[in-house]
Amino acid sequence: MPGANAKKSVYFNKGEEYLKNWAESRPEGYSVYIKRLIIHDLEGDQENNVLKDVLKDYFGSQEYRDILINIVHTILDGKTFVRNIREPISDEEATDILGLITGI
Amino acid sequence: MDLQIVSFDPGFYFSKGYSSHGKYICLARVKEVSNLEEPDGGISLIEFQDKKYRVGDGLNVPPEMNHDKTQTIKTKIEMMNFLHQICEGEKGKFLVVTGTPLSKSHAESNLTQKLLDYLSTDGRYLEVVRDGIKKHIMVEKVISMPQAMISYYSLPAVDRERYQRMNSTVLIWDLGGHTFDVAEFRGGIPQKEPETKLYTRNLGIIPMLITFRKKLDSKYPTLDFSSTEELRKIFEQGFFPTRSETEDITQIATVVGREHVRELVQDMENVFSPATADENYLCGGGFITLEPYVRETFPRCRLMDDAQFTNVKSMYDTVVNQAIFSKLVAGCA
Repeated sequence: MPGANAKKSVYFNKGEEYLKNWAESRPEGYSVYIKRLIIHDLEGDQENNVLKDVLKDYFGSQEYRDILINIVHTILDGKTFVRNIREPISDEEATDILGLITGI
Repeated sequence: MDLQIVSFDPGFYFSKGYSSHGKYICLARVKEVSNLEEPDGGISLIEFQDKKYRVGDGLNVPPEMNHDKTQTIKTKIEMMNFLHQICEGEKGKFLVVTGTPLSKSHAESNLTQKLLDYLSTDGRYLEVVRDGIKKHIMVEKVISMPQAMISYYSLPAVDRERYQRMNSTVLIWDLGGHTFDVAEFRGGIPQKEPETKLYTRNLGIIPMLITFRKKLDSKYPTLDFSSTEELRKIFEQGFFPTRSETEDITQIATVVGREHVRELVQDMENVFSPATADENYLCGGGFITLEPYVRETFPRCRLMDDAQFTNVKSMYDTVVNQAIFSKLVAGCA
């Protein structure tokens, strides 16, 4: 969403800053290092699954579903794509709702 | 060109929106400025139909309570400011669903139809420049849904099925900046008869904050409480910071909050019976502030999830439902 949370800053304490600088100075590059950390976490044992849990939450989130919707939308080459409502609406309710709408 | 669906709720306090991008909120202030005004990287500057407007500026400016949301350029500018931000290319075509107070939601209401006609771009792409970035926006279709009533459909389906089965009475209370709407459902069916059930009053949170400000002005005549948002924060916290410490105003807030809720309840009880209703749901930004006072009288009342956005999100979720959407797009290119 443009405008929302557009400015994000990350503050490091001294210890973290050292690690950050160290990671950034790795010959393999910062991103590769982070990726290795993620893989390590994902393939690690149950006690080391912080990232796994974060990703699990993310995959179940509306934000992720909206991203998928946008991807499918693009694949469909601009055709209007309608996502499923989270709470389904019965046929009777749909009739009631249509009766409430002005401008159809 | 694809059609993007968005919901847009022009409030007196904040204007809210919802789209596939998620939530949108902007302080509901629009001011026409000189054509010489240039974007400064701060407040949004909108250029539309040869005029310039600053949007979202003025926390210290009281909301304009006489602002008729139906046919003023302010509402249109607020909508264009929102659409410009979610328009991904140089051109965007939109289906906009907007909310109207319950009392103005009747299908035969000329007022609602006028609003829809006014917000539409009449099948044309109109140039909108936001902070120097030019886009072309078409509002292909505008529809409106009754606020409060539409929020019922965001309740979990399993609960709605139970209400239908048990023939339960469910009240949705919606407190906005300037308006208070109440919708009633019996056995899952929206109640529109008698006409008093289409209930809207000018008893929103802003009038209460104005009363609160008067009390504070009287007790602290040398201090300035001009920002409505700041007042709301003070009201909710029960104190405000001074140079040396904090000043406790819990007692004033409690008196004002209780009195406002008493007024709300007294008036709506002429039409509804909240004491015997099976459920009392609260939504709208106003009840984020006043829910504790409603709870004093109705301990089982429930504040709906993300109450400030319940209406606008419910409108969006309802429109994108296939059963509803297929009826709406008939006629859209």
